Amino acid sequence: MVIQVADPLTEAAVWGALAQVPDPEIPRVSIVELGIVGAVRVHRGDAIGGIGLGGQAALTAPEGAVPGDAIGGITGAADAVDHSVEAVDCITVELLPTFVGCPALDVLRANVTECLHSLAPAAQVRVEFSFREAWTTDRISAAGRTALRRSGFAPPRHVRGPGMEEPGGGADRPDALPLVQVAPAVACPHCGSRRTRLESPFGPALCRAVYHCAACRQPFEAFKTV
Amino acid sequence: MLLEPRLREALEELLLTLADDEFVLGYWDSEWTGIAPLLEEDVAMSSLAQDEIGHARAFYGLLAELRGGDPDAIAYDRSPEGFRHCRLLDHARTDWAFTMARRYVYDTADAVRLAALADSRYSPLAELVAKIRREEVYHLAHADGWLRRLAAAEGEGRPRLEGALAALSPDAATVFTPLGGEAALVKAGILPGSMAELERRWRDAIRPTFATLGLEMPGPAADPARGRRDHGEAFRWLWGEFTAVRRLDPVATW
Repeated sequence: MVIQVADPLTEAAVWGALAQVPDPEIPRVSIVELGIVGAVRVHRGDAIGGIGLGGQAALTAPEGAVPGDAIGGITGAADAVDHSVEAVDCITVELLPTFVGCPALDVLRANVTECLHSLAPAAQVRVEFSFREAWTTDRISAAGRTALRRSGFAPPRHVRGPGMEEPGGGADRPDALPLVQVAPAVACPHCGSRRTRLESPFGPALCRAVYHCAACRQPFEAFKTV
Repeated sequence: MLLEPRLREALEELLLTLADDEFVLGYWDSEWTGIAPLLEEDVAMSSLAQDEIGHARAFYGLLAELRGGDPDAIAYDRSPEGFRHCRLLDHARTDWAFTMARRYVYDTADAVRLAALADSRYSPLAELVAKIRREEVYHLAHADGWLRRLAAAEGEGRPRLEGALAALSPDAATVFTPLGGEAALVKAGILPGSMAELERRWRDAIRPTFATLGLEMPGPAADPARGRRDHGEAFRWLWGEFTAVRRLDPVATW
């Protein structure tokens, strides 16, 4: 990964640099291709604290509420910048974890920070993990899906509806308890056949499931659809 | 963010119960690593444990943002008396049928609870829950599959499942133990639905499955006042396990 220093520093330059940060577990796919980067913000400021990426009011206002009439007295985080102090470039990157319990988050944070220090050695860098928007497998780009396949992983199916609430299985199962639909089968990343079977939704990493291909008789891993 | 102190205290209690439930369940699941009946189930239980402890870490994180302090300290530096998980999770791992029976009871109750919290007006909680629900779908499918498999099993499978459900019955509904500040949370829209209402929804959700499989529905909580308190010997043992490294060397990283 070779990152040239960007001057002036722009958000496009940050996105370009992040596109070269590999996923810690599948290095042929970048974190941008996987859709892990939720937002990037570059601004001139004196400090890194208090720079949110939106969604700062913790309690959402009830419908029809007058602005400022928030219950419990909610205030947004301070977004003010004191221009009296010498300004530096501040980069804030919001990352959306693929799984809440993903053990690679610390490695991700370190890799992103290192990459941005190469891009802008004088800038202050802040990496935030956020659930403001849930990461779903639909965030993986077309290039990301191709790179996954080339790495030997079947890309995930597309999610059909919000919240994956696809009632399946027995007629006695109420919608209140959504279940995963395992069909249609994913295509084998080795031979392309769809004659595949889910062996277990739990694989060697939280984000992967284990399948078996009846055509080439190979086991393979698929990105779990979430 | 400013919350009126009584509401904030109630929110802290809610977050602590959510975190402790997932944390304790995750550690019970991890007791199967290396000894589950099938290799796939060994991987599954380890994966479930990692998911649940990850969810707990995120809930402890929300709590730490409100209270200040370190999520690890909340998780690992309390005495057993300070934990607020439900009594359903006080039973030891026991055998596979027992673990699957408890998983089914907990996962269905948790699904109903999370469906309500997805509409919480406390947005950090609603956002986290939206993400967690996508993962819990897989947990529910796993538990549902095993409940049906054990119920249909010949030999000792079914009697073991029935025995496990009977043993868990007095504690099954403790997931919905009323919280001290519940009324304030419901009024503020932070908890969309009282625990009693959520328990009703849960019973409606699982009744058809229990009827189809010919299994007896869980009863009401035998001791609701202690639904999240006075954890017994099995939990004390588990607490000793999961705090062992922390007590030995508080600054260790692993």
